Amino acid sequence: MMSTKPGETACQKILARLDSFLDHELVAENNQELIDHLQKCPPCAAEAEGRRNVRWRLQSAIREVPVPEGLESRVRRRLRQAIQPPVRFLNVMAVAAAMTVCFGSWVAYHVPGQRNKAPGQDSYLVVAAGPRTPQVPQVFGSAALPHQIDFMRME
Amino acid sequence: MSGSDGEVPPPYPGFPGGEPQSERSALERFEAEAMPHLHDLYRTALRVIGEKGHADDIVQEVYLQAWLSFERFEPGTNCRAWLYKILFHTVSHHRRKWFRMTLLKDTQEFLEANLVQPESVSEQVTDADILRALDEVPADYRSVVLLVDVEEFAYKEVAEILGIPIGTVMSRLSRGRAQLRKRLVKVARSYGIGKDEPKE
Repeated sequence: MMSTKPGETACQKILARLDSFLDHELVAENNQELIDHLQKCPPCAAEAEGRRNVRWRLQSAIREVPVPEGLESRVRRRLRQAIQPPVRFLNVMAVAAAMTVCFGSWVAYHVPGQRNKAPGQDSYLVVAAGPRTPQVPQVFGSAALPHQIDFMRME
Repeated sequence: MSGSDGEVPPPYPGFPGGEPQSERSALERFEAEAMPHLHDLYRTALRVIGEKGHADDIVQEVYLQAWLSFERFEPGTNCRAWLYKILFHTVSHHRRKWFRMTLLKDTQEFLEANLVQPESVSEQVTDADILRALDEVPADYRSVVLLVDVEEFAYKEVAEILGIPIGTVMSRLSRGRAQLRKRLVKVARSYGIGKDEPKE
């Protein structure tokens, strides 16, 4: 049962609970008490009707507000974009990591052997297996190069 | 995830970060649950924020956030209330950045407002008048009025959505409604309705 505070009239008590009643938030027995009161009290019934009416008008006013065209497709597009990037991003990261490792090992392997590599030999392994001494390019045939001759003369 | 070996499949297999195929079907389930509430969410967002472009952006963000946390959403629970919770969370996150919202302390003068006018809103008061009157109600009250009166959430759900106690929901609701009616009475009087009423 609803208790009445000191000095509170029956109508004040009802009005204080009217919102909860209209929102179906009162327990059943309090509902009944309110219904009984509203049936015999026109001012409170009018108040209840007024509040219901505002609510109804508000609902219908808001439901008439147009929703921008294309909002739904914008939302759907964004959701699909949200799926793609993480997967793609992971793939890209994996490829990038693999390429970094490959390039790194290529550099580590080739750069120190660069000076000893003979022309025409494109692999360090071949150079390592062949003679270590610098070889004369074969552009001038088998003859010694002019600067080599000069060098021998100075000796 | 196959379910063929007698195991009960998880309610929502395939989430963001999972394999694309199941992710796509999870997205379809998400959309089936969440999309029917799009228009209501937009209209609420618009009334809370007051600017169409921002409301549009916010709604997109809400759906994105909802999708990213869909994994944590329990099937069978109230999807609508969950979306609204995300909406108000997102709004409060952007509030300082975007909006100049009326603070509650400015509205203490309305605390006494309770019984306004017993008459109904006149037919001459247009929907636009009603929306304008609602927009003038302070944001914290307006949110509760929207959630209860328009979206018809229970007090308990509103408390959960806004992260406030039920008692606060009830007091904001009654003040918000009272203010709205007060403004509507004013509008009606401007049309020459109810001028003979001595109140106000």
